[in-house]
Amino acid sequence: MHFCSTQQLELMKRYTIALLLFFSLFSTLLFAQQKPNVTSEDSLNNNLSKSATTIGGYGNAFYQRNSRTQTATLNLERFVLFTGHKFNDKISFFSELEVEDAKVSGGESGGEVAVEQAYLKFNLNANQYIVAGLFLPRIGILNENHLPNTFNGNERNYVETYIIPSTWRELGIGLYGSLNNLPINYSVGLVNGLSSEMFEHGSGIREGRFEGRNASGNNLAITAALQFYQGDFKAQLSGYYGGTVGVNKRKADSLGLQSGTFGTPVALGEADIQYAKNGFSVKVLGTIVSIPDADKINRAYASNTPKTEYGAYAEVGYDLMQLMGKPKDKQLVVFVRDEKLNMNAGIPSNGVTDGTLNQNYVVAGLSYLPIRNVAIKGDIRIAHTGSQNPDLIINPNPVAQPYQQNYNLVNLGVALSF
Amino acid sequence: MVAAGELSSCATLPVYKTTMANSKVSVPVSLFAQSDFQIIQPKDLFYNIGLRKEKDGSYTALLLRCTHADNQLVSTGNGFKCNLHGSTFDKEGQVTQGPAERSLKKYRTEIISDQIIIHLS
Repeated sequence: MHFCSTQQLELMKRYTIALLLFFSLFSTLLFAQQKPNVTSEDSLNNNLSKSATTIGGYGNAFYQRNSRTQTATLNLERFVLFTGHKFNDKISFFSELEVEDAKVSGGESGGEVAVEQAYLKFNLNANQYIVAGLFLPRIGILNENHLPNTFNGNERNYVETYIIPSTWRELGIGLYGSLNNLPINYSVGLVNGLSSEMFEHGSGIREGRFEGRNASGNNLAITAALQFYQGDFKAQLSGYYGGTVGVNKRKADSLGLQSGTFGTPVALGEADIQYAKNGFSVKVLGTIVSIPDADKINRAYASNTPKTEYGAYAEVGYDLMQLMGKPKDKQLVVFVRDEKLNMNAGIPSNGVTDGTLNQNYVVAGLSYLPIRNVAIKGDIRIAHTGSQNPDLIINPNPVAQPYQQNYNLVNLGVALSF
Repeated sequence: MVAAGELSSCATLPVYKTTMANSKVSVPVSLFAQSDFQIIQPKDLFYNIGLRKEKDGSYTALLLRCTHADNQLVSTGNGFKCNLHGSTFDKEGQVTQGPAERSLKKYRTEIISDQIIIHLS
């Protein structure tokens, strides 16, 4: 009897959330369809908002020399097309279709074709809007804004690739807004949760993302962010909290996992500050991930999931063109970035510490932008990791080469957006 | 004929809420006694307008709509940003970071009887 009541409660919770989601969307649509265009103001709005389809995109390719493997590769890492359509001033659609590594071929590993974003946007007023569909929650810097000509270095920073698994898109709804009386922007989102079943040793929570494909609706997540702007300074706080078990309660019980909306949770917190003035720029970001039931996930899936991960980086850049009379569109940015991340900073009692997941990178280089939307980049990534745990070595020397804790990557590439 | 509005502001981010009439927005000149920049929020317009007082006493009105994909812009303290793809603009409406390539749309303004009239057509 008690079991039935708990189930019913859980069902009620889910139906309530589903109803809320439906109501939010429905009311927004209703709102959007109100008021026929009869006034001069509306005519003006129509003028402003002629329906329009926009196309944009971005891409990057680079050469990489790896001192550890003594090999070099050339890769068209990303080619992305944006398509957007504005139906009117209130309702728009945005999408991004991405091809990674240039080619996807049946039976061959590598490459990816993915819808990175596809959502409807409902403007409530000049300061607030709702998105519904596959979108990128505001977590960190890179997740929301990742055009390759706007960050330094050919590769995206590793902290926002492995600790914050950018680009982290999920299905759901989000409210975005800014305050009138304070220089603050905010966002909140309700999205599908991660899958702890898909977590893989060495990549944190990254492989647990559904990215819009058959996501579980049993477990959900909430995200929120606050941005503060003052002069040339910007600060942000963001967070994520969500369940990771999408299987039904019976199966979850048999696996020893907590099911439900926020069962077996993952929590992520992030803070960053950015400053830019007269060609000088600074970015500092820190993030931490907590998986309190990592021991249960390991018992169920043997994935050596960590209990805690963290990462941080600091980057300083200067546009040398400032010294040459500040040409309007050109930039020559010299930069250095220090990245520190540990994907097993905390290990549960049934976990195994992997020193190679404790990583430090110093990335330094130049970004030359002959025009704002095109970048030619050169950088070196000097890597240092912890040592291998002998218990995790599958192919010992001489079958495999000895693990090198220190190596470097030399990258030369081009990037664009439009 | 233009409609009057109300001030909803603080020292850091002044916002003036008003209405439109005959494709015009009216803003009191007195708003610029303390500041040379004001966000104008006309009712039922889904974009804010940035109104700046120039050194010569004239006023420049910028539509805070990204010229890349028509998204609303947010004020950043030193300009405006589009959170959709990251384009940024300075207070003059010039692009400072892409992918936007065109400057913000400007509206004609004139001063009539202590009111700044923004012509939105």
